[in-house]
Parts: sequence; C-alpha cells; structure tokens
Amino acid sequence: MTTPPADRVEMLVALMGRLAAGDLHARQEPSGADDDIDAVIVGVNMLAEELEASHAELEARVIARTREVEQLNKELVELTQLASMLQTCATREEAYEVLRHGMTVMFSGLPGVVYLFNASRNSLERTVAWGGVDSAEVVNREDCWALRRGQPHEARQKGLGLRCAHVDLQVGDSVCIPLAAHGETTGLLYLAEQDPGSSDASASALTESVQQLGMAVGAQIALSFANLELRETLRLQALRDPLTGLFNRRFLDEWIDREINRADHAGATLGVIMADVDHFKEVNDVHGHDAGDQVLMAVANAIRGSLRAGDIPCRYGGEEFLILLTDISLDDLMVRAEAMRTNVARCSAEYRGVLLPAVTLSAGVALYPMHGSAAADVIKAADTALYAAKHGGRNRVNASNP
Amino acid sequence: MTQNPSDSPPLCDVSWDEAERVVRFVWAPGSVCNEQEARIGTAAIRALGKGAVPMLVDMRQMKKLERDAREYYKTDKAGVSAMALLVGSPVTKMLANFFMRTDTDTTPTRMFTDEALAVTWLHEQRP
Repeated sequence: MTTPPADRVEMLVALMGRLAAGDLHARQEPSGADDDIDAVIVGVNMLAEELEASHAELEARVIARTREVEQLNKELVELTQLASMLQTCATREEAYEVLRHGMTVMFSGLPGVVYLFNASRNSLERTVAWGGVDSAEVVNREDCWALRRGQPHEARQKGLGLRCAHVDLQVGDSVCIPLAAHGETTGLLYLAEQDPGSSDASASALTESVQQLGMAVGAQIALSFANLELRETLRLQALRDPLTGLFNRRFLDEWIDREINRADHAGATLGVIMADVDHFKEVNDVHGHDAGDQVLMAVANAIRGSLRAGDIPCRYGGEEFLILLTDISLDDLMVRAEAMRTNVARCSAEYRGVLLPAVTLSAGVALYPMHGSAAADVIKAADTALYAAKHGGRNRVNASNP
Repeated sequence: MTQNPSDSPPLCDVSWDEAERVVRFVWAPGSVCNEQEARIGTAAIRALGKGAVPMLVDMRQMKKLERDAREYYKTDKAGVSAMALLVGSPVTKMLANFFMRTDTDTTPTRMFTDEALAVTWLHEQRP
C-alpha cells in the first residue's frame, strides 16, 4: 500500500523539524516512488549526513584544542614552579637538583641534557641529564650548530637537519637550544627522542609544541643561572675587601659567632690575631694613598702566605687585619703570628716603578675560650695585646694575658 | 560487471567503449554506493589501463550515494579526465547535484539526462 503524498510531505516536514531541533541522526527512508518527494527526502538525508559529519569534526577539533590548552596550562604551571624554585636556589648545586627534578617532570619520556659553560668558557660540561640520554660529557662550541648560529638547531632523522658532532647517532630526532641571558650564551639545552628501535611505551615525540616548551624552559634556565651568578658575585663583593681580596669586617662579624659555636660544639679553640701595619700613616703621607694601597696589598699577600688552608684573614679596617684560626693552641697561634710578622717584614711593594720602604707588623693574639667567653671579648683581648705590642716597640707579637 | 567481495550481485559495470573512446560506468538498478563499492569501481577503471580518459557514469538506476563514497570520490576518481553523470529520476538528479556541489575536486563534471549529449560533451573535454 503506498503512502499518500500529503502524508509523505508531512513526514518530510517532521524530519526537517527533528534536524532543526539538533537531532542530526534523524533520517527518512524514501518511499521508492522515485518522485520529487523522494528526491527531496534523499537530499535532506544527504544534507543531514554532511551536517552530522561537520558537527563531529568540529567536536573532535574542540576536544583536541581543549586538550592542547590543558596541556599548555599544565606546562605553564610546571614552568612557573620551576622558575620559582630556581629563583629560590642559593647555590648552583641546589639549582642543579631543582633542574634535574623539573626537567624529568616536564619532559617525561624525552631524554635531555643541560650543558653549562665551564669557568674558562672554552667548553660546555654536562651539568644535568635526565631520561638516560647517551650524550657527550663535554661539548665544544664548534661541535654544536645551535651554539655556532646562536639559535635552536633541529636534526630530524627524515630531513635535511644536520646532526651536531656531539649528538649520538643512535637517537631519534633531536634539538639543541642555546641558553642565553643578558646577551650572553651560558649553555645548551639538548633534547633527543629515544632510539627509534626502543620499545619504551612512555617515550615522547619531539613535536613543535615540545620544542616551544624547550625554548621557554631554556630561557628560564639561562636567566636563573645568570641571576644566581650575579647574586653570588654581589654576595662576594659585599663580603670581600676590594683592595686586598680578603674578607671584610662585615663578613667577620657574621662569621666569628658561627666559629665560636662550632668551637663550643667540638670542644675546640678559636685563635684570633689582631695585626696592624706599623707607621702606615707615614707611608701615606710621604708616598701618597695609591702607594699605601700597594703596601696594603703586599701585606695582605704576606699574611695569606703565612696561614693554613682553613684560616680566615680579614681586613678589619684601614691598616688593621684580623685573622681567625680554628682549633689551634696558643703556642701554634703565636708561631703563625710570628710567621706573619716575619713575612710582612720581608715583603716589598712598588709604586710607579719605585720600590717602597719596607713595613713591619705588630700583632696581638688571643684564644677562645682562654681569653674571653664571647667573640667580642676575644677580639678585645687580641686588641689589647696588639696595643701592648705597639707600646713594646712595634714589629712584634704579643699574647693576651689570661 | 565488477564483483564485490560478498556473494551479492555486482553493483556496477565498467567497460571501455572503443567507438566513443570513453569509459562506461553503469550502476545496477537499486544500487547503493558506499566507500567499498566506490573503491571497487575505481579499481576496475584503472584495470582498463586507458589512463586519463573521459567517463560516462550511468546512475539512472542508482538508489543511494552514501557519504563515505562521496568523500572517497573527492580524492580518487581513478584519474579520469572528465565525468558526465547520466541521470533520470528526480532522486538520481538530486544524487548527482549533491555530488557535484560537495565535490571539491577540479575534474570537469556535468549532469545530463540525454546520453548522446553527454557523450558529445565528453568528446569536447578531450585535450
């Protein structure tokens, strides 16, 4: 029995109503009459198929984009955390540990290495590695295209990217990213896919977005290490006397209490030598302050040369020096002070090609806890002993009275 | 007639018309073309070994052209140089129209209700 045309049109209208309401699965079978109504039904069916396919494609794109955004957000959080942790690090060793952890998290499945220039800046040393990457311990600037060109260098297995000389032939695609901060290249970030023959399911691919992340991380690493170096330089500058290179009084004031505590815990002693260059004012008055500075540098070197490895010489102020000597007897303290005095008497300084007159040193020594129960007391005792040495004729060492 | 993998009767007949020098592709009555049938058809055209020649597609008896087949034809028409779609009923006109409007390929394609006119147009498409 054939359906009347009016009913078929009504069914067609119902089909379009369902589609308009968002039911993209809705379809209607043609009657088989092969007439105009069937043609419209077939057309609407095909239109619905196209709409459904477009909708599915859009949905898939939205899901993929959402995943990308989520991943980006995750990476941003990790990057921020890494940056924050690196900024908190007080030493390079701490920063290496933070970096090792951070890079393992951020580049899981993608092995890599952070190389940093050595002190002489003639080569880069493998500083932090993760993911079991097989890479060179030392990289020369000439071995890396990225360092030579000052921009990231990518080496694809299938492609024209030249491999750097430091890259192992067994790895998959790889990228080298120079680390630069304040206009100076400080290192190299190297990321490499695992051996293509590896069956490791956790292995990641070196995609465009991973490379972008690498560049962002690289910039952060470079900046963090540059800041760390800057902080270290400033710290040393704040604690060192720029003329002699010895520690300054600020350092001594902080340090002596730690040494006293350490001596207390170890049941040890702490020796203090307070020394002063004799008649130094005359050097300045006769030869000028620049000449006086040359003398102070020579005296500082002579003092350094008279001490043990762990002893701490400080410029206390003007021509005064204070030296801390840990775990030492009074006799040995006197021997060291005497050696200092002798070495200073032997040292010489030149200014503008003219040999300056020799100077002598007077010194007072005191021992913690023998001559005082606190840092200030021992320093005062050494100062008093120095005063006595000065009064006793200068160029001599005097021990504090118990 | 090309044979599909199942035991069902073949859906299309592909042959070389030496007189007109065109490929003749005839869909069987009531045939529903899906991607699998489309692939079988293009394989049969290639098997003729005639290269880039015009093709007359007789779809007057076709019942349905499914979406996966339409998508497949966007990327593979077996290298034919031009395509004349021969239609009859309103349904086949709709199928052909829809196919032409959604096809992004640049192969010259036109719809005809008259076979002679279709063949003439195909001759005109020869380089």
